[in-house]
Amino acid sequence: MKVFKVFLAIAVMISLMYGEALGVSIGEPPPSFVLLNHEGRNVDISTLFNKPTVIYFTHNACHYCTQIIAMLKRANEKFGSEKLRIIGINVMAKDQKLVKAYREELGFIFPMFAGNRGDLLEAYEIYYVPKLVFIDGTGIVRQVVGHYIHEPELHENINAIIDNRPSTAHWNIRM
Amino acid sequence: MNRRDFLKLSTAAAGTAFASQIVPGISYASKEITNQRGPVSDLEVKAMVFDISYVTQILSSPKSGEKTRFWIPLPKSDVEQEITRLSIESPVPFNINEEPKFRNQMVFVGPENLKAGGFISVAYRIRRKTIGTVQDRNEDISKHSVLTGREKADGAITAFVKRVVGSEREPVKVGRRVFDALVETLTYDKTIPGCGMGNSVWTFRNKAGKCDDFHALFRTMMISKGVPVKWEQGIALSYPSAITTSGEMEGDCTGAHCWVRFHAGDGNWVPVDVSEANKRPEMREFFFGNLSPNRFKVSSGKDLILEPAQGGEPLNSFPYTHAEAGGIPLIYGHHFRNRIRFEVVRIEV
Repeated sequence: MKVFKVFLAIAVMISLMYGEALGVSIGEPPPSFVLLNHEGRNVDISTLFNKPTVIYFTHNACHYCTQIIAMLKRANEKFGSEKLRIIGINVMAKDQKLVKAYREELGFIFPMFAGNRGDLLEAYEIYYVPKLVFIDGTGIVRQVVGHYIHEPELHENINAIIDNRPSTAHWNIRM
Repeated sequence: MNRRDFLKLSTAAAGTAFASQIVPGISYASKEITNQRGPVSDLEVKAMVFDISYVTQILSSPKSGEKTRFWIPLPKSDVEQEITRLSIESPVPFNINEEPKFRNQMVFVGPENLKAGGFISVAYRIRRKTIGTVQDRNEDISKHSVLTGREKADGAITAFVKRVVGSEREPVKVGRRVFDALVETLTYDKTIPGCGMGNSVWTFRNKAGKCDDFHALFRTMMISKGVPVKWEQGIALSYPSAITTSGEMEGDCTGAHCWVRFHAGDGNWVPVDVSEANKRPEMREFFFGNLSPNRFKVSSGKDLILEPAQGGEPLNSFPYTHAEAGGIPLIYGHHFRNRIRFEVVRIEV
């Protein structure tokens, strides 16, 4: 019994040490963080995962990221904000000023958070942008797409999180 | 002199100058490709001479109405490269500044209300040599002994270094062991989009990356063994054997290249390009201790504070224009973009 307890303790320690660092995983809840939003308020982003959600990771140096915004807006119109939540995380931003300016410049109408934090980047495995994380209504990650995404693929991934089913989009780049 | 007057800075003179609003574009009267012997072996080229035209184009003004500031990296002449025929055109006054820590040089423009469609153009001729170890006893090695950004030695990296390096302490031998181990362990992954973020833990875990990732990991490992490593940031063109006589590319992070030099003692800085050694196995020996001439250096060091200081965070590196309004970085592709045109003037064998 004592050996089992020691084994269990080690397993828990390893889990605590590496659980978050292993990153966002399909079929698992996404990592949760309290992040500063564009209004200067700290928000636990896990409280936003109570309906199908797309997280959009971006950076000011990323040209292609800006082109995805138009697709996200069209998706919002198509699916409606009752069914779908979209949030942005700017991984260049450490404060409210930058995310606020980014939203205003590009007409990003969704909540946006400052994401220039090592722990967040590690947990979501953000080593490049853009990156999109699709979370279903039960708070489970269904798909992660890096870099280029085409609109039909975006819509299929959104349909999948609304329907709580795996996506059938073929061109996902999981990295 | 008003802003419509034309003044072109033709030498590397410091100070404020005015320049024209004409659309920039450099015309090259002569093309002296001297190597006419047929296909060139990349290993026998001694130097390459390029004409470079680097243009930052203003796409839109920030909605905040704040005046904008632009910092454009300006390569310097040194033992590795010679810059001549410098020409700068800007619709508003500019300065050539040098930041004090790493002595990086830059063209600074602003604060101004630059209109969409405006250009800042920097053109120069550069002769870049095939170069090996350089000696600089005046360089402060402490600046290059600190991990920055996402460079971090976790348990796995520490164990790997311990296994690879063993009890070796001589810097060149330590460097060679780390270089060989990384060339054999990592894969250059072209599918990774955009810019690498130089995250050493992720790179080591995934055994893949791009040049930023390879060299951040090399720095992490070497610095953990007490060997200073200098980051050098540049722009790479095609190898002599494959290069076209002229071309154009987007001046964003996707076209940047980086390499490093480690300190071997007595002011000797040994260059290594781990990612190119991985991509070009036949040049693996070459890239430990040498750099090919199809590149040029635009800045060095990490965690850079520009001159005048930018409002945002220190820059991880400075390959291309940094732009801000009200201390907030502008958005690439929305507020501004960079284009680089090159023309090969000469390949020296």
